Amino acid sequence: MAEPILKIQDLHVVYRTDESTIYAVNGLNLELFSGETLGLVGETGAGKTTTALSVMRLLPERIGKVTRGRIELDGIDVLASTDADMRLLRGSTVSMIFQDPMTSLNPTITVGDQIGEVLRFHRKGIGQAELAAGVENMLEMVGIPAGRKGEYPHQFSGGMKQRIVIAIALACEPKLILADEPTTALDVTIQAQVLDMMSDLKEKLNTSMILITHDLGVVAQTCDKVAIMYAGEIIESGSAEDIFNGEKKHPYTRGLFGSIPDLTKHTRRLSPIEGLMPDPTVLPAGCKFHDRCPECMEICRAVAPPAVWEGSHLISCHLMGDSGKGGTER
Amino acid sequence: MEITRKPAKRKRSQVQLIWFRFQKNKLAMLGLIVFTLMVLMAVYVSIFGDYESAITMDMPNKLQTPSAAHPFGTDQFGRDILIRMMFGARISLSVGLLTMVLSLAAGSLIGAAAGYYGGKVDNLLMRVMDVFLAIPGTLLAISIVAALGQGMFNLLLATAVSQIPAFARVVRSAILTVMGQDYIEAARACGTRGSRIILRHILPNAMGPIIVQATLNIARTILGISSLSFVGLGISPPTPEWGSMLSEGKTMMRYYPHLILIPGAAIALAVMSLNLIGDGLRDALDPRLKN
Amino acid sequence: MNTPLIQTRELKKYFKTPKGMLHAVDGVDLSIEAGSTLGVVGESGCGKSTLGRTILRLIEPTGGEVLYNGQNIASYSGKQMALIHKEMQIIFQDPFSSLNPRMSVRDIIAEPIRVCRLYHSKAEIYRQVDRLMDIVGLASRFENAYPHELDGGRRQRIGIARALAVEPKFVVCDEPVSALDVSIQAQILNLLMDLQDDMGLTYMFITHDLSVVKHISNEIAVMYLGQCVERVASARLFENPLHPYTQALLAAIPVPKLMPRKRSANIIKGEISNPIDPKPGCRFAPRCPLACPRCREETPRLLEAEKGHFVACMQYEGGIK
Repeated sequence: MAEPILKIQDLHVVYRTDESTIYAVNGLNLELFSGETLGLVGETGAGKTTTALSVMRLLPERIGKVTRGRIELDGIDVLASTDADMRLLRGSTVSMIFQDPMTSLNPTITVGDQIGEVLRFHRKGIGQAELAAGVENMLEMVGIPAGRKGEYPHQFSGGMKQRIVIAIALACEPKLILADEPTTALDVTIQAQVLDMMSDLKEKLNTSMILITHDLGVVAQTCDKVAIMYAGEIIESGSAEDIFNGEKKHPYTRGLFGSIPDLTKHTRRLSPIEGLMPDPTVLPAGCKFHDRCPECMEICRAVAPPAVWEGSHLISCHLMGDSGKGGTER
Repeated sequence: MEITRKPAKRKRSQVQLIWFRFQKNKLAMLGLIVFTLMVLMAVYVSIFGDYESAITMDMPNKLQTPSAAHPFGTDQFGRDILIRMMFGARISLSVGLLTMVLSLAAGSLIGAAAGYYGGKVDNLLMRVMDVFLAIPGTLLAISIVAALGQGMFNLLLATAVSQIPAFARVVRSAILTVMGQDYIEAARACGTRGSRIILRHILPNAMGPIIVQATLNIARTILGISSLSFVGLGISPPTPEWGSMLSEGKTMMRYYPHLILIPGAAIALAVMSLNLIGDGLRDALDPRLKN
Repeated sequence: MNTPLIQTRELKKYFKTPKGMLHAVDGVDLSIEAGSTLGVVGESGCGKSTLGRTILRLIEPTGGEVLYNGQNIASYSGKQMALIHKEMQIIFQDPFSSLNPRMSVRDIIAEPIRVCRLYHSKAEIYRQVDRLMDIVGLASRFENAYPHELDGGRRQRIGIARALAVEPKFVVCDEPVSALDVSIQAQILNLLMDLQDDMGLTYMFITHDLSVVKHISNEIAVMYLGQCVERVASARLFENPLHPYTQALLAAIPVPKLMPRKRSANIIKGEISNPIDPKPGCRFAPRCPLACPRCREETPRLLEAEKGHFVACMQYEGGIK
């Protein structure tokens, strides 16, 4: 079996500020193989962006720290690499697309030059003509006329800016893309266009992708695998089939699905999850979801839930283990 | 991984948070301490000091090097430098503060009007400010004093006028930022009158950058006054003022460097401590207020 | 038949820009019955937020009428508006910039009460604040807290309490849940619906999210580039969307169900055109798969295609085929 393109083991990340310590990621395990798209789902504060930044080693310098764990990207130990090594990886092996296209682009450099920058750094000794051709090729691939390469970001709309950001990310054909809520800031019709384009490109270039989002609809449309995060942990993961059509669900996942208004049914009231995500500076003992869980048991308050597997479907919940029904603990 | 419960954070108001952040900045705290000492010194000398001894000549004792009786030595007129220094602090700090208040008041009115009313009013006021900004501050101050004659009041006026444009801009920009916020619209939506919006909503939130500017401004004013006094257009002798002390001492500085080093150091310390406080305030206020 | 609480007739708001006249709201006709909710849906640049604010006269209309209980308030003087203000309020989108950071929760909610002089003694005002906090589900221990100490969901509850403090009849909700997490969105939506039932409020619910508006609205108006292109009862819009834009909008919503990928054909191409000095003709024509030459010359009017279902499209001029 081929080696995974990304392997994260027992990742723990904290943010230490003057006032407090934020436990952002608390024991995360993840594996992604070539060509797969993983949807990393969770609400604000779940730790999704922190995870992505850790893979890129882009955590805020003095404040963000990986306190435990191992990240292997294409066989390379990310946490043990030097800064110079990381710079070589970023853009060529792994690329990141950030959420807000309005601030992701440098307003004083033409879009052609911004795409060219990546190519120039990673393809040493590339000639002028080859560079220009590469830039134009990328623009066409994301649906922007190549003639516009001399224009500045402010001359493009939000959706087009995001396409340019994607062009920069894909310029060196990375093996892995980390897309952090790439379409959240866009209108829904533009989002549809951009997601469609991303799916096409992914197939063409056979890139793996981690798509960070809070929108289960986007996940259903684009992802093969899904992992659901809560308070810095993955509490459920599996193939898209497992998560959307599976019978068993983590109570949080069930709550997430219940919070989304369903266009096909007409219900008078929505069924939200009561309460809030726990304060990341003071995480609760036992299962971190226990105080919001409608099926909380005594054991949930004290003991962290085991990871229960059923084929490819992982659920981290006491209900699924011995005290629940079936599945095997690992 | 089990993480034990810690007691919940104490709730803090914004002002307390700002003070907390300010305290973490070592340099800013140093500036605050130094400046506080200077203020205390000025207050002390106002109550207990003998002003006469600072200005009465005492020729037999002239040009003495630092000793027990005269910790900073004496100047060419036999006057104790330490006590002249302390009175100088009183003058510099009080004139500096007063000037800042004047230019703050005038600048705020102009900046607030420009920011709140916008449009033609904004344009007109800001272009007038631009004209003043185009003239170097010291030169402007010198021109005013030259035109109106010497004296404490004219000095104050001259220095204040040269500082007004900077304030007007800061106040205008602070007000524009606040006015872009939704809570101002919420206030208008229930029919709140303009005066209440300004007093209750705009001013408290625009205070931050204005206070920073004011602190930095006192430093600039002290320098400005000292400069004017140095060229003889400011405070005239025998009043002890750091700038005029520098001016008096410059003829003898070759052989008696303490005559200029000490007032020079005083100016430098005052300006530096105020700048550190101002920078510290700016950092404590700035990015993290936007959650 | 009762007069609708809110009506607009040919409401216009134009902004002067260096490049020309920006038609933010361009001739919108609406009516909202008392106690009901009109959902106003559209993407960025359609003018929905401007529409809400213009109805409240937070922005001055350039033309047209706004009828409140039959009276045209667009022409009211300052003094006349002062009496109306407390009948119409607004809830904002951004839970961060909608609250004064220097005021405690209690003061924020009390402020409109004080301005409109609804109660006079401090005790009465604070009692009212307590009542309001209770109604919106804010624990009383947050009375002296400051906005920066609270999360988005709680801040939005404060915004709601503030809007309700003056006991309004009509509330414009400008994307009140867009900035919140999904699970919190559902909580706030339920709260808004409960409040409407308990207090008989009338809402204009502005959003870009069709799935949110379906639950809360009785009627939905779809806006595109300053104009209303379709208006019909909520359930009917989803059963039978008539305007090509509405159809594209519905097709673009990612559904949280696994479906085979057949997207490319349905995805609408292009971007919205320039709202500055728009040319005559249907504004959606450049992107419409069904556009014909007539669409580019004549501006379609909002006509009743079937009972209660209004649409501005050449296809339906003679009613539904």
